[in-house]
Amino acid sequence: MGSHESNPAHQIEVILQSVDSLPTLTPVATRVLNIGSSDRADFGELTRLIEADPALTSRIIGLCRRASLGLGDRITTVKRALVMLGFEAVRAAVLSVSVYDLVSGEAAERDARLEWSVGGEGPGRAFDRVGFWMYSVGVASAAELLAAGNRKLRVKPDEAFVAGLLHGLGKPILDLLLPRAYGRVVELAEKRRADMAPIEREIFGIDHHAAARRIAERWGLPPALRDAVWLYDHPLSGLPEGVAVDVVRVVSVARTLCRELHLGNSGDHGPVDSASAACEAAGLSKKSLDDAMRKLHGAVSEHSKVLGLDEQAAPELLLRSITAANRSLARLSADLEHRAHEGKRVAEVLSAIAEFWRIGGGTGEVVRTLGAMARSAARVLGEGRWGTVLDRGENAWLLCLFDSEGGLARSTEAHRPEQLAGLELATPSAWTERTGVRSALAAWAARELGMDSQNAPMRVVVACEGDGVPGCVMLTTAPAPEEAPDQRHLMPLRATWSAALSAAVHRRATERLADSLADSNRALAAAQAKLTEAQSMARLGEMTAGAAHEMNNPLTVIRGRSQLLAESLTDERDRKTASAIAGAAADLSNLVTALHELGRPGEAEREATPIAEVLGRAIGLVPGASGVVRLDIHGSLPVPLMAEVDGPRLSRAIAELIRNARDWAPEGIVHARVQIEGPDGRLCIRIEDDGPGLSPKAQRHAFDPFFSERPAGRGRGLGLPLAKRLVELHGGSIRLEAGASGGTHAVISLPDWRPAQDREAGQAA
Amino acid sequence: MAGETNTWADKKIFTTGEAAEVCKVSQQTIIRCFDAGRLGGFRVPGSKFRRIPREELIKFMRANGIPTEVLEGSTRRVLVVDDDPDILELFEDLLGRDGRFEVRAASTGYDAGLLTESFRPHLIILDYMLPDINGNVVCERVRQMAHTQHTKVICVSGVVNQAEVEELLRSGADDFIKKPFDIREVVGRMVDLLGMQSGATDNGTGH
Repeated sequence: MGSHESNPAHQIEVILQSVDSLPTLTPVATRVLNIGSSDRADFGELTRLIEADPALTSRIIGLCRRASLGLGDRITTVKRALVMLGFEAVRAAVLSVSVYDLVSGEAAERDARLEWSVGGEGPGRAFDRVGFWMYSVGVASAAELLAAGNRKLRVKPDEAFVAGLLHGLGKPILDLLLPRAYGRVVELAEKRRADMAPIEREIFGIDHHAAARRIAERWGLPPALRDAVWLYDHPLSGLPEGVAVDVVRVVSVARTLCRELHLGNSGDHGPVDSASAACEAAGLSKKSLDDAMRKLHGAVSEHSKVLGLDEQAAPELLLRSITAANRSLARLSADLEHRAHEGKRVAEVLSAIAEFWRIGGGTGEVVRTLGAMARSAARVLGEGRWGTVLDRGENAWLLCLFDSEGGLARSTEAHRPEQLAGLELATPSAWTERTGVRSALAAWAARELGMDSQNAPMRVVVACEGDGVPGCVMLTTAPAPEEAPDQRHLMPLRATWSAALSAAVHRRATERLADSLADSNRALAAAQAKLTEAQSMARLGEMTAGAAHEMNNPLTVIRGRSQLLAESLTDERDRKTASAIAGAAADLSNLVTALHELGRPGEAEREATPIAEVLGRAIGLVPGASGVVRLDIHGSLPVPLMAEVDGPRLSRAIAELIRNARDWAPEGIVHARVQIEGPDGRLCIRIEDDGPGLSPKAQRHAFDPFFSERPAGRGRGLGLPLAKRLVELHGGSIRLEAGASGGTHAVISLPDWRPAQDREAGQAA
Repeated sequence: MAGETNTWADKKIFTTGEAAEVCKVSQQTIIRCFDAGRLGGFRVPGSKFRRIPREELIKFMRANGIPTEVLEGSTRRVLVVDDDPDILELFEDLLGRDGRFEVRAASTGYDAGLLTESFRPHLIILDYMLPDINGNVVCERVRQMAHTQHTKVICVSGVVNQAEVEELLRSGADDFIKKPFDIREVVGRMVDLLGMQSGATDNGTGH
């Protein structure tokens, strides 16, 4: 009686509590159950109790008569029955009648209530109570007969009768408590050709065995009876120890017999063993079974009458069993045919899924996946051209048209049109039922894809569904095949599409994300490098400002003292040595000043300045440069060419380049050219020498402070870094190139150089 | 140097005759100017003798464009202000050897103020960074006071910031020299500012 996982323990508890709330047995039945079989003193009381209810009395006498065919009409009173049949037989009769009355009485009352509250609109399929009790009486009668025919069993016929009658007690009780849900159980058992117990467990969490056991315990039914209701369905070989095995055996074989004979309606539709096999397995005699089969219909007819169940005579009962058997056969064959069709459709869908993977549905490329979807759709939903509409997010839709082989015929990107505002492809349940929306979508997509929707109706199929799955629908004008699979059959195919398409879409998004991550990493690294440089420059500025003050005082003393010393010395060599000390102190001071300038070059104060003036001043800053620098301001440029620059600072930068050019090519001529270059019209100032050119290493590191390839000497390695800083103050850049005919070209390039009024004039033009 | 000019240099109170000699005009002119109030002074108590204090005489001479050199004597008083004793020593050595200068040293702005009053320097060599007040403040004070406003000021500093240099010049310094300097250039600038004849007594090369 394992509970189903999807049914919380809470539900089981609620059902058991309702079982407990059922009325208890009548006082008569309770009393009968409590009197010990040897307690003759209480027989008088029992007789009085039964006789107080005339209807009960007559039915018990009827049952007792039936149970002792040989005695005929001689049993006319309860007392007589007790004397002639014994206590057990009467007790069995009282139990049978009480329980049956209680359960069917409650059920009738409930039906009246239901009809009242629901207005006659009952559950789709109801538990066949009459048929069930007929079956139960059949099992009871068969059990009684089997027990009578197998005397070696430790079960008396009357005991077997009660056990047979009440073994399925849990079913009417569950039906009583949960009529609608039980109707569903009945329906599913019939549809699935299955027994009721597993379906009960699926729906309620417990089955009728458990419910019946609970009520048997509550009512205080004898242990053998409790075991029968609890275990009648249990395989005989695996019964727990200590149970009344013989009762269970007899009931089990009796059950099989009644189901084989289609006697009544058990509600179970699972496969049935043959009665003779069951009989053999249970170790009952073959003769007793044959005997029981022969007498069964007669016995059922009589017992039914006594219980007030049915008025049918034995031949009619037989006829009814045969009809029921035929009906059952017809149902079975219809069912088989239905299953054959189902199987064919399922096979089609499965082979479509196989084809989907075969033609590239799992490649992770969006359009290829869509093509495979179109091809597999054509296979099961109609051969022809299929269009797909995929929601790529932010209202951007990708539309594709595929030929019947899944080849891409056309694709286009579109934004969700206004007439479809609010339509989310990913939540199809919100719009698929609205035919207006569906046809608007079909018409729009057909137009976008150039599909002819005039001559054939356009079908819209939801391709993907589920959490995190991209919205996608498919369209076609191809006619649907005659036996098209329905939504249920398509579920596996749709799940396949959804999984493959979301994998493809997410893969693409991941790739895009990775690209942009790489981009921003690059930008970040560049920004960090710039920041680090700016920070180290700022720190250099701070440090050198402090250093300048601290160093310049001692340097003053060194320089002044060595100068005084030089003046007082008479020996020429000594005097030169002292002068050299003074010169070195001055150099050291200049170095600190240059470092400070590099760290804190100040702000560019830009104003319109003739570029020729800037170059002229630069040449003036380099000793000995005026003779060797050839100025070449491009002929096509206006004269005088004005640039908005910080004249002194730009001159300083150019001077450093000229100084370097002179150092690299001490004997040569230096060209200083001014040109306008590039599409953005940047101003380029080129300082070109005809020296030996730079090594690759020098080209890479020329702008690093203190880098110099020249042997130790005058070169401080700060000129080019300072030039770079000063040019950058103008928002420009500086680079070194190898000249076409040798030498080194240093190029200052200033994108933003035009004086304000020139820019305005340029815009107005 | 000539004893005569030294007398004038130390004299505090002048008679009309002495004033006439200093100014190279007649005594009558001096008396006329004194009586007209254009030359300040006082009369000796109990007599009619006119007396002229040194400051009034200088004021008068400047107002009338008469050279005051004769009053000053031949040596120029120079106050060096720097918090570095080595620098002070260097200047004392340098200017002492030169012979044309009388040198005093101060290592704080406060001392500099006191010495400006008592020593009355012709020229102050002023370091910008002092322990108590900055050079530009000293410079402004010197310019504000009547009797020192003609004193020349040369600022020296190890600072490399052009903005600070400009601020110094704005506060009234006559010149700026960056440390570490060429001592010959410093002496050259001093001679220029004081209007001395360059190299007239330059004997500092070891003769």
